[in-house]
Amino acid sequence: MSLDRAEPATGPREPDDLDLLFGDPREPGPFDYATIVADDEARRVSGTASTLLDEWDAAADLVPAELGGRWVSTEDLVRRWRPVFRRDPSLGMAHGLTTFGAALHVWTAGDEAQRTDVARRLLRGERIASGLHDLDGGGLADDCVADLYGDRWLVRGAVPLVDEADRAESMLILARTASGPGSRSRSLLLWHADAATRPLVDTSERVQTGGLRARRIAAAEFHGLPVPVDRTIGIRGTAAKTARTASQVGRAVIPALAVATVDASLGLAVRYGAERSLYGGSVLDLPQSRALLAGAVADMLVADAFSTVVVRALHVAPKGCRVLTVGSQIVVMQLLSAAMQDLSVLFGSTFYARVAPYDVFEKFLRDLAALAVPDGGGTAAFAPMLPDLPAWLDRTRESVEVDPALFRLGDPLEPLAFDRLASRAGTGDPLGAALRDPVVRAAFAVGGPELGVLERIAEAFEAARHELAALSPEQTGADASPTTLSLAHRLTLALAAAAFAGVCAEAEAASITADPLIREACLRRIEDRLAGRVGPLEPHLVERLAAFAEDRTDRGIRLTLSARDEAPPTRATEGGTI
Amino acid sequence: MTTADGPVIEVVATPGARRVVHEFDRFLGDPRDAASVVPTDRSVELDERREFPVDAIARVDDWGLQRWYVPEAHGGELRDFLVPMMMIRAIARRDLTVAVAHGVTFLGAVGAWITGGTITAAMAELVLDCGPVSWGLTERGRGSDLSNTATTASIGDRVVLDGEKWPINNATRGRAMTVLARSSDQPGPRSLSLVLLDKHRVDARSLATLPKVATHGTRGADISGLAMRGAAVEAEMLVGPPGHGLETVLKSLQLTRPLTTPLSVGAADHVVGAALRFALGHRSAGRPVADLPSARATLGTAVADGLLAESVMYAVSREMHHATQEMALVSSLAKFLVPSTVDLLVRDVTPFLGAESQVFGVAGLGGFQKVARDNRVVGIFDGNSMVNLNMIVNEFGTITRPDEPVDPAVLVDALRRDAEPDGWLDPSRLRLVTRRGSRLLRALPGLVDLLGSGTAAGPARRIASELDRVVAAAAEAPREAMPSPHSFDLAERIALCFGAACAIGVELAGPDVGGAASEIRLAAVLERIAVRLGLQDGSSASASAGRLGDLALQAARDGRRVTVLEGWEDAP
Repeated sequence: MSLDRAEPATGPREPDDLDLLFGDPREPGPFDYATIVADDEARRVSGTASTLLDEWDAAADLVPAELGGRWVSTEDLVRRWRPVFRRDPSLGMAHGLTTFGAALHVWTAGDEAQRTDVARRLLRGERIASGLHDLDGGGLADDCVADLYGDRWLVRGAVPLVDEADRAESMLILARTASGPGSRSRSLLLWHADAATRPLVDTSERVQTGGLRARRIAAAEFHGLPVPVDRTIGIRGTAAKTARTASQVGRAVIPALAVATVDASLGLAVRYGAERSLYGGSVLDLPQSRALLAGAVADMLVADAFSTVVVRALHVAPKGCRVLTVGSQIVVMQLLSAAMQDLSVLFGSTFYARVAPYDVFEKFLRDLAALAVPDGGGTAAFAPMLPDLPAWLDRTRESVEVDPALFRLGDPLEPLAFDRLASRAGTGDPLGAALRDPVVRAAFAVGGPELGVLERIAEAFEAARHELAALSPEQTGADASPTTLSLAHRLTLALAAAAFAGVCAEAEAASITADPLIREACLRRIEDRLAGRVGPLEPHLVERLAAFAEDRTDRGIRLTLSARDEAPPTRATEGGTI
Repeated sequence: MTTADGPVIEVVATPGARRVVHEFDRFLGDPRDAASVVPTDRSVELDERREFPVDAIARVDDWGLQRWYVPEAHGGELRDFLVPMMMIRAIARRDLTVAVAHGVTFLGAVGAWITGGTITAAMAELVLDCGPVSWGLTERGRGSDLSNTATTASIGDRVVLDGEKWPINNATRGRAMTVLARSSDQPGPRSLSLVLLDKHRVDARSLATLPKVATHGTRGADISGLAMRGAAVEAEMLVGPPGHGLETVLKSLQLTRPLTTPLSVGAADHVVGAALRFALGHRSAGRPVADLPSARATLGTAVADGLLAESVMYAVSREMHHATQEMALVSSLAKFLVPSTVDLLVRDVTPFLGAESQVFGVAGLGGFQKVARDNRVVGIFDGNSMVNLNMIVNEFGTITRPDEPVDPAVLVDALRRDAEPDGWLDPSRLRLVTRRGSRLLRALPGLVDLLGSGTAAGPARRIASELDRVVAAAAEAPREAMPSPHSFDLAERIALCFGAACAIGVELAGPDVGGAASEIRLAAVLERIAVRLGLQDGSSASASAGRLGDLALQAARDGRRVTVLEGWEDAP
């Protein structure tokens, strides 16, 4: 592949191409569930699938169209990659998303030459390694130091957890480049490995993980590694700002991809529940099992709506996404983790003592847990959004309308404008106003219970917003109280409801979100979380959700919002079967 | 022992029964030490390779833990259930795989102690000879539905077994298996029998082991199966009378369910320890993590969950002896509440540890990601959460019967650390259904009154009121063959209220009752329960959690753990 590719950047590829290329994983084949489980045990990804991804030109998805790749709409990118996450999240990370996350720093802060160079490297299949700890996380090691000698840095010290450390052709290194405390003491350096410099980096100390087992993580030790000064990404000392800006794309994309893993798990659970007999019936004849399934479906639908809206917000409201993506990543992953937890109870011993063909669920559960771990340790997960939260809320105080483009799932999007992503509060909250938006509310039947739930969530949002907007800087720093962090959590839960309600309002009549019972059930799950305890859904809501899951699974259609109820005849044998 | 020094030995023997827990813990050693019995790095390594912890099991066998699996009357050391429970907890704190692999023999053997008769001698000999005995209940595709057992036992001069037991802990490595099998084609509760199959006394050609199953956690455990093809055992190997198999199993489960709680409590010890070490050893924004208010609250909540699990384990170990007739309910309350509380604790601590929660291969790390997976085994096997909640639902009728007064002071007395059961419990008191639910649960309002006006009294009263509401709702709940999610929810709330009664009773009976530390522990535990019941929101409980977090951090700096059983081993 080269930069002067003949076909236009938007390309002719359809989002579901990978589902066709990979085939149905329940059917025997080179990339079936049995192989995926065996590969996971052996800590490797499928060679066949890797080759298919190469042939599919996966690398082009990691590169913005203006630099020769095919990444225009991030929502399309997510849709194209979801088939990977329906089969093996490890493959998705190893064969794309790790490099994607590192490259974002270059697209965000790199100069023209750096961007062009990295694009060229990625398009020919190279990878970029990066540390698992980013600057958002807090728990930064101070052990990696770069000193300037003439026109090059000399890097010494160690970075504890580097993904793809020994395999990638390049590594993004976060190094201390100035003494003293504060965020302006660190810089991002991009090292391109070659025969001369490779011996100066020791990546022999491998670290393994319980989930995403195929990931190749190692500690990287630098023994006077020279990096040319012109490979400093962004202005010296601005690594923190660059990471805050760049990471929001990954914070939006990874949860949206993880939805596919839960979607696949729901399909497995429906099949297991119908096939497995217990107490004279099937597992799904038991009311409690149906309730577990129903709750997981509702949580997945909300997670899908919220994560997709946030992905669209990167394009529609790029200057308001920093705070939003920190919160949405946590809440979406919480919803998905809760769904997996519920499904693991439904699977019972079949989950713990793996039984084919459902054994892949056990892997999905571990992989999802690994994806859900926030980058840094130590501080409560919502802490990174707190410092900018009051300003973010304040800037949209008067707004009562939201851009409906946020909610029109699947509508084309302009290319992502990296230079418009904000590292701080930016233009404020693009989403919360949906809870009071007349257009959104008009889509809900007057007097219906779902509108009642929405109104109560809107009140909770206003209350949280009111309290948060009044916080002083001391209250939003490292000393933030658990109460403040909990307010941020509540606010983000309400934003999830805003996203879901917006999607309901803009959805076609045939969409599952047009169903009032589905709407009520999904919003109830949010309301319960705001109240602190997720109780049982009403029987008619359980029945509607479970019937939806059973019907879609029977007809081989996925449960996610982007799946149409009528499976296109040409793809009748693929898609949602997974 | 001579007649002359007999009495002296008797006096020494009583404290010795508890000192042995301490000695066992010292025997196991520091898991950071590669020469100890269960070094963490070794556990993590074996787990990754799915290898059985042969060395650790052999050393525990040599030490003789199995002697506490056999009642004194049958030649063992078992008097007080808490003693083996505390020893299993000590193993589980280091490695759940080892604890599960060793402790399962207790499960396999307990049926014989319940039925009595000649089988006890054979069972005791097996156990004391390092068995191991596995517990052959489940079959492929039938899960927890034991009444649907398809393995057959044809009872004549000999008992001939046909069928497959799967997945069974120690099915392959075990020397024997206590097998539940169908002995009659007639439908009904008397169609199953329990048989002890000693592989050394059966034609080996009639047995085949089934391959090890890949498990989510405890990857090294021998979770496999046993196929019996006309396996003939002597008629005296029946455990209990023919046709009494299901009843014996149901009664056995009333004792084995409490015996699984120390697995979770040990897991909680490990997780809380990892979280405290992390907080003390890492910095965030230039400061020790332990200094951050949010971190202290997170730690305190984790410690509170661990204390709840420990309190329930301890209280239930007492009720096994004192309220044996209530174990049908109490065992299910404990088996639901303890593993689910510790699962919750694991899920809460995971994001706190960040990437460290996932990694291994780095010295000193890796135990967490293992225990996080391992602990799921407790809530899934020998009755999963749905089965146990269903058992609680089935007891709604007895729970909601008009009150029989309970003197909370009597309960508190029974929970005193120096109060020891008279001896091994009387299995004839086990009932399939209780008469009046659990006295500990009924005592909640009385226990709350004993609290006076301390900081714990507020959440305690809210929980007691909640119990009133829940019991009223349970009385109204329709009796269904397949209970509704609403009934399951009520059962879960009852279990949480039961947990509160355990926590209050255990603190009131503690040596430092009324002291500052006791108040801090109880307030945090009860507020955490109130949050889980939806009676208050999480942030309103963060102050009490923060205080407990401080207490735990201070204890950790001093090399201690916050526990409600401090000094229990040393009690006279």
